[in-house]
Amino acid sequence: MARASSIVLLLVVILASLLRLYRIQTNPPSLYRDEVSIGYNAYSIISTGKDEWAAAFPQTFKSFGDYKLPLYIYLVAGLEKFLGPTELAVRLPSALAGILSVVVMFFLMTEIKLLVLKHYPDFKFLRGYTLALLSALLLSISPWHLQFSRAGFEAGLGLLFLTASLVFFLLSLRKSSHFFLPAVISAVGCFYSYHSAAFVLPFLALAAIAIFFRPVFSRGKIVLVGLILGAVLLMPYLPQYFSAGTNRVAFTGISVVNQKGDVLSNFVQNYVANFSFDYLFFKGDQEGRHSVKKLGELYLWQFPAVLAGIYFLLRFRSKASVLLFVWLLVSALPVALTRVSPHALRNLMAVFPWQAVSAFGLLYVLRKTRAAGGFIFAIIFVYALVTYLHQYYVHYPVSYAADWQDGQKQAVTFLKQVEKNYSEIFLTKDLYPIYLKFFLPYPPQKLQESSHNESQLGKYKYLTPAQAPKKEFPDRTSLMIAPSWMGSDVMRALPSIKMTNGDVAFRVYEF
Amino acid sequence: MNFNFLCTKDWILGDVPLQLWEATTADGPTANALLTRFLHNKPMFYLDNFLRCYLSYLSADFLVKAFSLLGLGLFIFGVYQAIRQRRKWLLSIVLMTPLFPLFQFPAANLAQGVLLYGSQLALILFGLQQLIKILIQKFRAP
Repeated sequence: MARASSIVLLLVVILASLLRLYRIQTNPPSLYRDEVSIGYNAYSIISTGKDEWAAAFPQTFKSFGDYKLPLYIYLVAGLEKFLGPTELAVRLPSALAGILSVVVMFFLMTEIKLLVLKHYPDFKFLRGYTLALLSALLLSISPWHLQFSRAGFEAGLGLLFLTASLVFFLLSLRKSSHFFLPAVISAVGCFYSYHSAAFVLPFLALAAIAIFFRPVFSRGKIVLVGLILGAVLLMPYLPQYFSAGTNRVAFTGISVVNQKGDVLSNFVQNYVANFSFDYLFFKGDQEGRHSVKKLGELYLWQFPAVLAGIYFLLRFRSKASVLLFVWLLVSALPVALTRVSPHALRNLMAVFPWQAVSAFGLLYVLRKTRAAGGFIFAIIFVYALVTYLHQYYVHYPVSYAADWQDGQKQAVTFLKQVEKNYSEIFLTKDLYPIYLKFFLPYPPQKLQESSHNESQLGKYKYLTPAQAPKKEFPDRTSLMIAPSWMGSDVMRALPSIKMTNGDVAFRVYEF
Repeated sequence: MNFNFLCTKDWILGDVPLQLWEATTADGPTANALLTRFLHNKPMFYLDNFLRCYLSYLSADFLVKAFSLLGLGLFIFGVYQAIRQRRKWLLSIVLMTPLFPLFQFPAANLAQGVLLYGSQLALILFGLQQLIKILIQKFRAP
């Protein structure tokens, strides 16, 4: 690789790291319920070797009954050994996976470019590393990828494994067949990290084998070894995956089957929604944790680039075109099978092919552009990036703090400071037990010994708002953390607990 | 097919001031006024909203609702073939007709719909014709 390209790649990685790590603990404004659950189960593993439900080193974590895949939790456990149960420990693996994904994008596009050049050797604009560097840059600043790299979502890890598997596979065909084994190991990583990645991978693998049928079967021996290795590595996973509990959640809870109306028509609508312009370029996913909501999953300036990229890949067909289109089309399937669509998280596997198509289009359009055109593009590029960063760092923590359950950590921090002053502390379920367990932190052994009884955690007792005291207690030895809507005439109100944006999260009463 | 078009000029003119108010308020009272102006200004908001509404009439979800998944496939194929064969008239018409529901002209929704869906149907039929042509050529080839 040329020295200049190495320097540019290094700069892109530095940019990706800055964008993923800067204020990672405070923006998104708080740990979401799933992140806290990951953090507490990881804490439970390092403290006791069991999860919060007392299962020893499980292959799937029961958590809230959603059976989380294990790899991310074990990575967090490793970090919590050094950092303790903190926001940083929960979010760092995701951010690191995001940064690594940018590097993997570079290598992926280097291989993809070679596939195009094999058919069209005259395309000078594809020589060198411009396409790979541009793709890596686009991924590094992608609002879609940034959103999920900056919070403790397992999806980023799944995406990294999926793409690494493809890169190793392509390297095994071009360089040495020994790369097939890391390809298999990465593929297995998908199954242990994120459901959508595990869903997309078999389709993509089948497509890749169909596209490269001859070279794959000419390496029969190593392929066989790889398949056996893959089967062995998947052994611990499969029984858990097909167990009754996991199936119940995966196939009925959020399934398209439970959506109102005709199943087939819902499936088609859900599928196509992931390709709507509104979702991709203007508004993004309307779930507050999944996007800044005021901008699309891709930048608006990428719209012509995507169109040009699709045209280029259709006009100059190669194995790369088939691979990228299959990837794009298959990535929307996990969303189509569920009720909520479009869904940026379940559709995250599409972020790579969208950036790749966009990079192809951009290079194709700009190949004959003079300096003035490049300058205008640079201005649009910077303006879009500044707009996104402004939305993310200024608007987002203010407007969508509640989506991140902001206020829960503040409540537990307050309780830690004052708990010694009270004999009893009463809580309602609006302050989720998982936050109390993680931020206190509550000893996992005690929870396991109590058969996961969350109605009382030490001196903290849970009750319903209807059970709140109705008469006055003069000694004021008890405290109650109540939801923001709950008032009381008999208890003495203390200053409320507020979210980052100043909204009241909880009311505090002494009685 | 739905002839009740919601993303229109009137909707944009009513909503953009609210969007601007929301954006400038979220910046807070201590925000740099120049930066707020630079990022939240009328030209950008109108451009964004008009583009969004215009493209919503060419979006995959809109086309599937109107013409089914098969129709969407043929529409994309038709666009691709029209670009390759430089059928500028056909493309111009398809790109122009979303302006009718967007600017609510002519006033009757039915007329807007006939113009919009009619042009899209023409492109779908063009795509179908091209597909049949290609298939016949493939089967005839030795």
